Amino acid sequence: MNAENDRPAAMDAIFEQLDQSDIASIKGVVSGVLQIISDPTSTAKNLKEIVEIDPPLTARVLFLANSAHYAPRIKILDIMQAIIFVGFDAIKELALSQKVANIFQNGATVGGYSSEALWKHCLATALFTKMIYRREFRERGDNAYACGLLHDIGIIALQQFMPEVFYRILKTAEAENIALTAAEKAALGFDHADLGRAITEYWNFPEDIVQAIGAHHAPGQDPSRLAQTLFIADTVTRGNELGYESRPAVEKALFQTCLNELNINHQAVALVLADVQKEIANMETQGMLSYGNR
Amino acid sequence: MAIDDPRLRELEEKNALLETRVKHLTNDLHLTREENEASLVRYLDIHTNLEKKVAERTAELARTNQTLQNEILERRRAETRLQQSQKMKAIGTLAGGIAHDFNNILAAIMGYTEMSLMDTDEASSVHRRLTNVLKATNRAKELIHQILTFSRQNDPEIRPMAPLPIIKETIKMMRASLPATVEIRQRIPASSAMIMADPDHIHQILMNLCTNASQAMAKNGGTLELRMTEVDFDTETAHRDQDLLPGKYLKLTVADTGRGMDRAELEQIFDPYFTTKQTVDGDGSGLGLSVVHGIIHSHGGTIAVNSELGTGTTVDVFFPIIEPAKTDPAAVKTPIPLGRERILFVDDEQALADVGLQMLQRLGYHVVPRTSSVEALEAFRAHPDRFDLVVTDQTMPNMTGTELAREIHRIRPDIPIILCTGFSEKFPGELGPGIGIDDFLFKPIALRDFADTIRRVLDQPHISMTS
Repeated sequence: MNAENDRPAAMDAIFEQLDQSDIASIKGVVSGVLQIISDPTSTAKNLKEIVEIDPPLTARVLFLANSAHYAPRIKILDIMQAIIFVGFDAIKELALSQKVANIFQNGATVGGYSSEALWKHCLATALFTKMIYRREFRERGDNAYACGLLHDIGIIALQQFMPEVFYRILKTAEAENIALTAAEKAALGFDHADLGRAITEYWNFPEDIVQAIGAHHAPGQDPSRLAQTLFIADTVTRGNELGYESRPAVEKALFQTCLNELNINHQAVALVLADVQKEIANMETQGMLSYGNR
Repeated sequence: MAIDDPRLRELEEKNALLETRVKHLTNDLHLTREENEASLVRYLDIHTNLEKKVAERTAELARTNQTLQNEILERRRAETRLQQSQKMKAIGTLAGGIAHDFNNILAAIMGYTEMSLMDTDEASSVHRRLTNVLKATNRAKELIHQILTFSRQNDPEIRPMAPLPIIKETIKMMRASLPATVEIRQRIPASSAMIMADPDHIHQILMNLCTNASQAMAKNGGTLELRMTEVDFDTETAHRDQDLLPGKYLKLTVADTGRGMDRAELEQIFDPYFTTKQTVDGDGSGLGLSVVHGIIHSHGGTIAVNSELGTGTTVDVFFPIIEPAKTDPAAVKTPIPLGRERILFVDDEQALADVGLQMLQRLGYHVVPRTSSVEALEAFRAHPDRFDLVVTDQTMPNMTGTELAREIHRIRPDIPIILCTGFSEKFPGELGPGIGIDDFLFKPIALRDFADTIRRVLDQPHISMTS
């Protein structure tokens, strides 16, 4: 598949700036961690090498690994120790989330939107998606977690590469009480889901992640389980003050269809949501939602 | 039949929630167990890596330790060598001191014997016995010379020499010290070949090689064979075999039928302090072949050792032959020169002063003997014109012979002076130029040397000293 040829011409202005941007800086670590997720034979040494190549990230991960949230028995001084005492999976998630958190910085607050709020939403979506995978599908859900973290990368790209256009779209959506995606489509010809798909595809991220991100507002024809789960997670978190958009233009029917197809009852959604809210609240108290390395 | 009871619905809802909760917990638990298993594998991996690292470090430490052990061993060996060489040095100093005194005793024996010889009829048995005494004394003199050479480590005196007499002499000496089980065979043709060498060194080399050979046969006896041949190396052979310049060589062979050496021993024989004997403390034979090797090479020669375990060892030594010089036709018997001049004779040892006095009187001279340099100077100062010659010992308390000579020349610069020295003292040439000594005599002094030197000094056209 040739990503560049399929890409709408309207995105050219964004892709011209992408490679030199802060957003591109997460590509290395994120794809490294995604590779570890996809390879069951990957070792602690592989993970250590991926994290340690990024000193600010390493410092951040070590700082958090030593925080009360993980409460290690000894003072952790390097990534290998962190892997041993905090856990391979915890460090993998921490590395991923902290790296991605890097790009959710600054930017103005417009209506219900701020990059901080967006980050909280992404984190909640990641946790929600992962928990559904674990609890409903009895699967690890590592990719689901990564997918949740990255699903709104299109919004960040819009905010960074064409801030004026983006803020105008936000205001329009609010004023006209329409979905953000609709306002984006009207103004640009594509929405942030399309842009997110284009970016992650350009970075050669796993296909299921790329497609799920592209479909997270409209899991259309023959959607994947990941796309449907992401859609549910995004919808639920936005509807429960875990997001930037307090008025979800949810198509109730679509939401119910996804739940039915995935065989998830509303009790499960309620239980998972409660746990996500608890976790996010806990992280907020621990200061783990404050941004990245700065 | 549907019962629409809100309480029932509430209960059903609660039940569903609990069921979901149980399902969630079960799944989570299942995954957690899987993850823990995966973690265990990873920890084992880390553990294996750590163990590997520990093994590597341990091996490295072992290597370092081995190196250290070797160094310690090398250090101990060096210490042993140092102790050995210090011991040798101490022995040398001790031997030097004894030899000096013994030399003076010999001087007296020699002097009196020579005088007695002059007094006896040449045909008499007493004369014959005295001649033997003199011969023995001469041998003792040689021995003392060797000890002093050893203790002084003096500069070699390399000069043209015929090695034949030295070789014969050495064989004679060896014969006495060899056990009866060792037979000596010699094939030494009469040869007038001359080599450039220090006679002491040739002696030392042969003694060393013969001692080694006899020690190799100490247990079971055998045959010690000495051969001397002349060989002519053309360019090719010289280079191929011995790394020598082409030419004529004198080849000395010392062969034994002793225990022999294996290849490993053979490779070490030129190492200092190498020995095939069990090293018992104090039994160190010293520098051995390493010194022999050094001496031979400094003479432009070489050494080749062949050995087979159980069969014996053959050592070939090569010295370049020089064109024979014209032999000195002098040294044939001429009558001992006599004289009637007045001599001031100084030696701090009473015995030597006595024998000197009597020897000089026998030669016809008028002698004033003194046993101290201070007294001698007083005697000279009292009557400077009454003396024609001063003969003085070098080593004396208060004032040495050279200092005395200086004082005497201050009084009368033209008086000739002969200085007598022992071997252990500084070589006269080392005393420096311009010390105003006309000639030297080495103790013990043979009568003929004494007479010849005195005559030569007295007869030389005298040059006035101005120092």
